[in-house]
Amino acid sequence: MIKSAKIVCLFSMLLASTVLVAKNVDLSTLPSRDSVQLTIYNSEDLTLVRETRQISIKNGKNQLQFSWANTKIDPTSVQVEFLSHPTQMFLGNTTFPHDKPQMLYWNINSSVEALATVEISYFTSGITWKADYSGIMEQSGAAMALDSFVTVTNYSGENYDNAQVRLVIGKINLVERIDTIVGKAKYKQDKINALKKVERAKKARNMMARASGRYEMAAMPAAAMLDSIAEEKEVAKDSLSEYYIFTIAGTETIPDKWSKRLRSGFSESVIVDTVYRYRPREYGNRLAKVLNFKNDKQSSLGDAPLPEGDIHIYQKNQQGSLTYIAGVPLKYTAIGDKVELNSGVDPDVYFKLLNLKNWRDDIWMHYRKGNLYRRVGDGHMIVDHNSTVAGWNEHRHYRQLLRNFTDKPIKVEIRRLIPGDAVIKSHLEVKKHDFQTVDIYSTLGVGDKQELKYEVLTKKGRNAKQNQVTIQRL
Amino acid sequence: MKYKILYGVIACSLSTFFISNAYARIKLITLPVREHVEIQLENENTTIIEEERIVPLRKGNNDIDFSWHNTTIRPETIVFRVVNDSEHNGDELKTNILSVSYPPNESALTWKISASQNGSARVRITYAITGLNRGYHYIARANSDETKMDLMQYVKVNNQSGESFIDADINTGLVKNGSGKKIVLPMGLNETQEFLNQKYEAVLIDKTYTVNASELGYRDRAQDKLNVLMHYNLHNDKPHNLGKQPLFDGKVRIYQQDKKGTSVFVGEDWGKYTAKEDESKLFIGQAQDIVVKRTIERKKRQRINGNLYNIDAVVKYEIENFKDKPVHLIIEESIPYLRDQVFTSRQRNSYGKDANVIEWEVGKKTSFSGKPLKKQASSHKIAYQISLPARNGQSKVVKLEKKLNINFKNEW
Repeated sequence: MIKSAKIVCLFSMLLASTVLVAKNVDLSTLPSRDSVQLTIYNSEDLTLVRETRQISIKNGKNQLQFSWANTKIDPTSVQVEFLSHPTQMFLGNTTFPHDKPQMLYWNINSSVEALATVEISYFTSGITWKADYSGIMEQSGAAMALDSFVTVTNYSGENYDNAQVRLVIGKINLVERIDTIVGKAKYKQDKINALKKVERAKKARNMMARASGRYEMAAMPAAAMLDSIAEEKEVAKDSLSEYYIFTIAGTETIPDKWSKRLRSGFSESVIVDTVYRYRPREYGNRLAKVLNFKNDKQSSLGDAPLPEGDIHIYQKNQQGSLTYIAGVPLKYTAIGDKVELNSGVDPDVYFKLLNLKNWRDDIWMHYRKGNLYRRVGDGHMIVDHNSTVAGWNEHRHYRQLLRNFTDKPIKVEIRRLIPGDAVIKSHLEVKKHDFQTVDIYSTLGVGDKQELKYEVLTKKGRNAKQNQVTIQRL
Repeated sequence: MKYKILYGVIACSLSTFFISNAYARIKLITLPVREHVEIQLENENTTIIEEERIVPLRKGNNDIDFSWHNTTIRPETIVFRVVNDSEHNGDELKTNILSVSYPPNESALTWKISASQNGSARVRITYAITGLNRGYHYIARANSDETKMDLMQYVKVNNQSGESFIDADINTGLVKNGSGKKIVLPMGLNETQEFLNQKYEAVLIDKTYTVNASELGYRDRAQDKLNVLMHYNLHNDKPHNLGKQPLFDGKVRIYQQDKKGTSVFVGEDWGKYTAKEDESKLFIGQAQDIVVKRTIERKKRQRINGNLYNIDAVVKYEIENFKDKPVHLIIEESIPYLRDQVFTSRQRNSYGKDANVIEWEVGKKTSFSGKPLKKQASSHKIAYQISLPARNGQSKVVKLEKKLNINFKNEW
């Protein structure tokens, strides 16, 4: 496959005519990029590219051709601005030729002849960035060294040399995806190409061949002798409206189809609070070891939100090597918010739930004749074989077995979903999470064994008056 | 085909790159060998390799290539660490990892590392790898009276990762617990290594014979004869000479010493993961010489009112032991199974009723002596253990008759 063509900004010196497509003879210059800035959004496949070029503009009418064959640029987003001569040069109109979808002509009027600095901006898809994290926990498990990284991947079809890179965290609204727009343009291009004759197709291939091959790679220089050790690039973090912008210091070269990963932050000692949780809806039917830490200053974090990304957690062992704990997704975490990472089951904590005994009481019968209700056993029951059970209470007695084989005390939280009109009775520390969910808290010392006992009473049928659980401390 | 993780320091590089499908990169590289490699098998789902190399660095920026063609490294897990080691790193050598670049269509990356001076750095590269898996299996050798067994835990490591690891430290997590020794083995490509990971001696076991109509079924349904299954019960705790670590799941081959002192294979079973303090059963076969017939002798509904009933059920067990030694038999009864046998209801799951909530109690007609077994007890199961006398020579076998009376309450 031939490498995709580069964006060509072609300055054509035209005569007085403004008719664009009837010419067969052109004289063109190819001004190179002086600078390029990429603003990459992680919520959408969208990157704003701003590039500046130096162009000789003559007095009067000028024409600029801008083309982007085989790239993923949104043609509706391409704009030009005259940075050096904003009052003397202005854009007259833009022409999109019918037979070359990935091309446009800017017709420019200028009152001076000068070397102008123009900024061309456009949206492109195919450049993405993502965050990821690597946490190395201390042997004690109380703290973790946390590395944050950002990886930029370029599949835009264009090479961006020495680009200033800015990364945007936040969700923006798009009414149409860039890749859809690019797809439409590509469809049009394919349709036109299909109509061309063999000679024209051959010519097009030759043009593409010329466009490729000029590829200079400066991203991977050989060992360079520096006077002092180079520092890691700083990633400046700033907020803008509802968004956060990470700006990577200096410039980066990200060739097409390459990825580059940079460290965006490091915290040597993030305080980790470990809790063992039984929450079937969140972690499945098992006791999960959950690592909690806060994105705050106490943890040497908190200068910016933590963007969504995968985190791989390791722990130092006695030999100094690393043991793999878990690889889990980390959700977007605002400044000051808590991160909760499920690191799976800890074999050193025993956990078992037993349902010991069930029984029913407070049973009410319904008599169709007379539409009466009577409670069983209260002495006023009417014997009627056609009566039916209309209300009752169910009692379930549970025992939760726990044993801590770890070398430190542990905190345990058990979340139980108790639907209906229910009461949980226990001598344990029970707190209501929501109308039908309660949390049971306990701590176990090293080697401790516990039996957490509780009873759940659920009112059924006509006995049920509400739909919520209440707590009764014994 | 040659598979290899290539790892190079670009000492001098002609960094000319050509754009094509494959990026041609002309380089002069040095290949620092692995000083040490460790295979971490502690995590059940993820195998970790940690390798240590000494990398020569020049003052300034260095590119370190790491490639893993035809291997199954998970690149998102790669961690690069410069280990503090003054012997190799020198007191003055400072390093910074500036960036990591991933070339297209290659299983490779390049670290850009800045060094404060010329020198060698001891680095550790950690990564998860697939295709390098471990499995556990066990050999159990029971004594002749089946009261103790020696349990050998073997680890089988199969290397289909596409890379060989010569003289690798294999860490199964026992070193952490201080109960195992370091295992160093060559892990060749596509090779399987098996080693004894742990030996538990004189593990106390109890052999049980169990019947359970619901879970274990019938040997002869027409004659109401239940399957009698034999198990060795393993208790993963200190009193039973276990309990040092969880027992991972794996096949257990069971041998028993005969009277001549030789081992006889008596069966095998899949051992389940057994946490510390927990217990598990090893099914070792079906006993043919113990006959248990189960019949429902009585089921009587007593209407409380309308559609509300109490049910009095009696299950009769007729038990014969044709073995020439006494045995302990565990009789388990599933409460929902029995309830469904003695009481059919069209309203079982209707009107908010939970069919699993069963109110019941043991009735007075129960003839088992002693209390139900506590460990098997739950709201859905009751179990009794009885002792069966041995067959006395050619004389008639004693037929025991036991009854279990369950009173179901408030069913509709």
